[in-house]
Amino acid sequence: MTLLVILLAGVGSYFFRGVFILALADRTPPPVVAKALRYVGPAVLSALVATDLWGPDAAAVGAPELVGLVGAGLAAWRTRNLIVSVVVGMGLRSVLVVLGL
Amino acid sequence: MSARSPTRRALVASVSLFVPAIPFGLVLGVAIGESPINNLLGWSTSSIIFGGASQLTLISILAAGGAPFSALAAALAVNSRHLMYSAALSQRFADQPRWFRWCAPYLLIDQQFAITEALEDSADDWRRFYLTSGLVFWTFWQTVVALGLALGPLVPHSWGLDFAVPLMFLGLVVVALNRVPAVVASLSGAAAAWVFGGLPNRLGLLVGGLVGVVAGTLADRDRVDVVEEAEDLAADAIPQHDHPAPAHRPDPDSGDVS
Repeated sequence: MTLLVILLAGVGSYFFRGVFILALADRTPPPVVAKALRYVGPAVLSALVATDLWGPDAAAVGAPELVGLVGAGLAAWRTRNLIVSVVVGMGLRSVLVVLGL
Repeated sequence: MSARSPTRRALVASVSLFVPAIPFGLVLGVAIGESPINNLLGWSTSSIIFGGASQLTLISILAAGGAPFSALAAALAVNSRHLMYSAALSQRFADQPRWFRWCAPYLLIDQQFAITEALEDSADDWRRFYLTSGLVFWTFWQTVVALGLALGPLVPHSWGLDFAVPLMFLGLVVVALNRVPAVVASLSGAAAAWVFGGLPNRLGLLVGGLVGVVAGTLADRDRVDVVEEAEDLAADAIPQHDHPAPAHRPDPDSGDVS
């Protein structure tokens, strides 16, 4: 039974990931749809950040995390470097945690 | 293999992008080990489902004695955001061979979408990049979950390494933001996901994504309309010349947020 559930979850996940690739790759979407699809990236990935931080199974977010978040955002914006931004964010959070804030 | 080959670039990008996800994979491995589910069966979710959040959802509900159907429904709800990735990437597959269209969805996790969506490669290079980064993520994921399962808690929770995952996605978003409507999509998507954060099975994520897409699209249309109206007004106000309108016109798509 567990295996069946896992297999169905796998099939369902593949369906979600593949349905539009397989159905729409050979079609040209209407202009408004093509425009809307450009905003899937920023919209869903930002929503992912918010859900990771404030969703139902997220750990508590306090001052260290908020400062880390702002710092990482600024670092990403200034340097355009992902590694730098993650290091800045984790570093700021650790410093504030160690300081007991 | 030159420094700029798609394979090489994909290796660098995916390996560094995978590092923040390591703690999560270890946590998932521990959850599988602590659940009453057979270890091998639990680990098989990594290859059969290949999606950390939905795997953890499925395992937790089954471990807590939940009904198999509700575990399945919850795991699928968590992964429903991939519908949007699929739609957003669909045009990338116009020039791709059929075998790749069938294989690629299996590898389409959040990280994979985030690093391949904005690439400006030829169809062949894009495919090489996609396959390389996808296989790196896949291999690392199987390994890390197995490590968590075999060795138990390796990283004290107090280190807060979980925080690296949202930071990484934040960085990916910010680095890609180049136009005002994209900023609108990003902020409204995050705000809506926060407001609806209480919905079960991370459905707030789906709501946030949809709200962000709609907001970004509306912001884009408004900008185009405003710019075109301004140009029409200006054209009316200026006496007609013999030569056509100046070649340089404000491009509504090039708005810079900085």
